[in-house]
Amino acid sequence: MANPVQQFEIQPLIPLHIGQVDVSFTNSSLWMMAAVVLATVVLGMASKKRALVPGRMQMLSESLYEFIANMIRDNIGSEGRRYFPLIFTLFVIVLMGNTLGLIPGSFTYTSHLVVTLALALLIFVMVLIIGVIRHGFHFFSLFLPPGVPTWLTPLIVPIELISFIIRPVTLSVRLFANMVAGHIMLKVFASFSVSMAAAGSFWFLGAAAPMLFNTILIGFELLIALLQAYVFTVLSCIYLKDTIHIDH
Amino acid sequence: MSVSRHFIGYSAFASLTLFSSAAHAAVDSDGDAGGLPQFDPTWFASQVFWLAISFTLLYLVFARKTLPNISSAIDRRRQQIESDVETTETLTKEAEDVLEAYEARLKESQAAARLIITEMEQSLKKTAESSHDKFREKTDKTIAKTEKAIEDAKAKALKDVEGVAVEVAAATAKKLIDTDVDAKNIKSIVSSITKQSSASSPKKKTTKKAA
Repeated sequence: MANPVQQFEIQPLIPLHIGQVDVSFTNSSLWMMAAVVLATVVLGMASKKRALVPGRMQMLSESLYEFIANMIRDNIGSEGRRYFPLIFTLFVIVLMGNTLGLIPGSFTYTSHLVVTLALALLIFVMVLIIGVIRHGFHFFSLFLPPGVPTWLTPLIVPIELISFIIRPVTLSVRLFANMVAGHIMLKVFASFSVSMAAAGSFWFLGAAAPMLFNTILIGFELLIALLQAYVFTVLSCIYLKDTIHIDH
Repeated sequence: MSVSRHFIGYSAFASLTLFSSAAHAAVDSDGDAGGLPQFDPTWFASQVFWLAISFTLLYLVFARKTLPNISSAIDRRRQQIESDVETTETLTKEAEDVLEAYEARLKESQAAARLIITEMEQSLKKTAESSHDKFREKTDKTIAKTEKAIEDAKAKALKDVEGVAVEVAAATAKKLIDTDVDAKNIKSIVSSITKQSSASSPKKKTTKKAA
């Protein structure tokens, strides 16, 4: 049976070094670029015509636009408009990573913790920097909710602090774990099929069962891919809300 | 707005590159993790580096071109729809005004028509009545004249009849008994007979007239 984690291995395609740092162009980089090109071309073409009555492609791009716009309005408010391109890019890059990864033989860059962590840290660092710039010292009142009795302060502040610091970890691990688990499951069932088909005449018939299951599973994985991109983006919105207004 | 948007973009890129070098530092200290390839730090720096490039590229394209395009298309459509709705509203109002004016006009004309009709009816009634009256007067006169003429003719006829009857009676008497009867006697007898017969006839005449 093929190793189910082999699909996550990175192969360098074009070796590249900046100083001492190895930044080779790998299969991961390839699929990132594929996502960039695909998203740019599809959305670029879809939004070029700007027809009064939209075609299918334009409808798609406009629905995506409205979807993200509504998400920002609901979670951040009208002031969240400034983050629109950022949230949109974040959603598209995660969505592309998740869905392109479902193509057999492709590479899922969102199944790498370092990638999801980088994206989560981007949001985290932004919240911290912009929050402190905009609110000054008041930003740290985030760690002390209003109405907390004074004697509880030493307990509440560390809890709030930890829950704030843990944000990028939970955000990135959620996406990473979902992608890894789904892909391993697909691979395991696919290799069941392959080894059954190779085992002989009787087992050949049984090979259909895991394949059928995989067919259902891949639909399910598609749902997970969309859902996790949505969850990642919504949580980023909720975190970014702290840079706009602190409730207390 | 634009300045803050650029700031967001640059801070995104900066923090990603920052993280990239931090990841590289982790490679030096950690070494091989084993198990999942995700925990092999060899490619951490490369991954983050290319992610930063991809993210920045996508961000720039979206922020500069794609998103403004989409939003302008949506805005244009919304404006078009709003102006269309506005036009519809003004046209509807115009149509309602016209309808109102038409109805008012219709009511006016109906009232005028009713007035004309009643006037016409009254004048026609008057004319009909007057001509009816005239006609009746005329007919009454004619009837009276005719009745008188008839009466006269009847009286005359009766007189003639009396004369004839007297003559006939005288002639008859002469032939039967061969004597000349006095004309005066005969006349008185005849007139007494005719008076008797005419006493019943005028009564019949009046009942016929009433019917």
